[in-house]
Amino acid sequence: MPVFADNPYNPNPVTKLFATILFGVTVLYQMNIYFEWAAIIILSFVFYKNNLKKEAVSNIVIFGILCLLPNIEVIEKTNIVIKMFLMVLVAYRIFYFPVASGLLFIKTSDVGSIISSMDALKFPKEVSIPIAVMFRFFPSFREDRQNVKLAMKVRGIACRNPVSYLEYVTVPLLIMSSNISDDISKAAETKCIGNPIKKSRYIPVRIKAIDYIYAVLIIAVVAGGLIW
Amino acid sequence: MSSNDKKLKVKDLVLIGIFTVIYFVVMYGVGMMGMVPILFLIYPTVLGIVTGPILMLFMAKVQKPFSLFILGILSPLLMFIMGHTYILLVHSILIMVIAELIRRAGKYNSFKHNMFSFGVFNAWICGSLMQILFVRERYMEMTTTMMGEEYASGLERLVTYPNMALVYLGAIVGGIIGALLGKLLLRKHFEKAGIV
Repeated sequence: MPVFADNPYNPNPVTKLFATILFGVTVLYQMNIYFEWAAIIILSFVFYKNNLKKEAVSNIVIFGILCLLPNIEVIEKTNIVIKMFLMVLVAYRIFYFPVASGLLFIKTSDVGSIISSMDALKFPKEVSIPIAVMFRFFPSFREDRQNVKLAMKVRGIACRNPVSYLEYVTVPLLIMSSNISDDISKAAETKCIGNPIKKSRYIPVRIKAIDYIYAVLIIAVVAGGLIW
Repeated sequence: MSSNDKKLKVKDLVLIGIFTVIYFVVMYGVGMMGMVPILFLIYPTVLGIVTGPILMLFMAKVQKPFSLFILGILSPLLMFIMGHTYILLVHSILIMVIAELIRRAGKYNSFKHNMFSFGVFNAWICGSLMQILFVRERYMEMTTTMMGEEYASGLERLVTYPNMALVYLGAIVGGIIGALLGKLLLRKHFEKAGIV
């Protein structure tokens, strides 16, 4: 996983979370189209500066396509399957901003900075430990799933009967995961995670210039878009 | 059990994290069927049946207060970070409190209570549909200009409060079926392997 902490264009997780929550308002109220594009450009700029060039371009392209949607009157006469597909796109258009901002959050935050910002926000440890474990466990879970698929192939189990498929996949996965959970708990205990003292973090949460700029720009765009 | 054993320890918290990941991945896998608009009305039911075994194993492993509550809050929290609205979060917290109270009534180890608790737990996903209901006016406006009156009114008739009640009922029934399925799997595999 790349380390973003020293990038001057990467806002800290608290700011990004704040932006996502603010964008949640746009689900309920339609923003002005020019301000929508301003928001898209800000998001793309931050993507681009964090070395996520593909996301930066696709952000603009996808929103551009979504903008074209309601103008096409030909769609009305197409058949029901295409209509259904387009309905999903309409829903996607409504939820686009929070989703894009959430993607930015996930893609540009590493586990260390998320944990220390949870500390800064005074999350209880009952929530912050499971979240930390989740980030640690996601990649290894994907690996395990591949292993189960491979094992099924080796034994010649290719049936797509959903009920037995469910059993063949979930049972080994659950057993593997239970074992991994034991391992992680042991590792965590040795690192004294249960010790109720103030902890120092490897990656501290710092407030940089970009945090102010990003927050102010997002507030301006959302407020402006709603007023106009 | 003494009161000290009833507190969540690091081991339990790690387990909560891991089961949230499994739950989340399975949820997204099943969620692919939500791409077809009619199917997302039965999505909660299917989700309950599929995730039943996972949650039943979890409840068998961690029989402590608030374990289910925390697990249930984490996935909406993750979805909230990834761009859903606060409606989903508030709705889930309400659902989880009810589920936790049912589990408490069974002292956390009664299968019958756990089963009903999971049924209620499973209803949290209806929150994502409630969001659409909440932004209905806007959605309908866009739909009407795009799809024409007929389709829009058809959809409007489909996504209503009485129909939502049916979806909730479906979610609870699906959850109970999933729980029974989970009991079967638990007996068949996990007890033998010494996981529970």
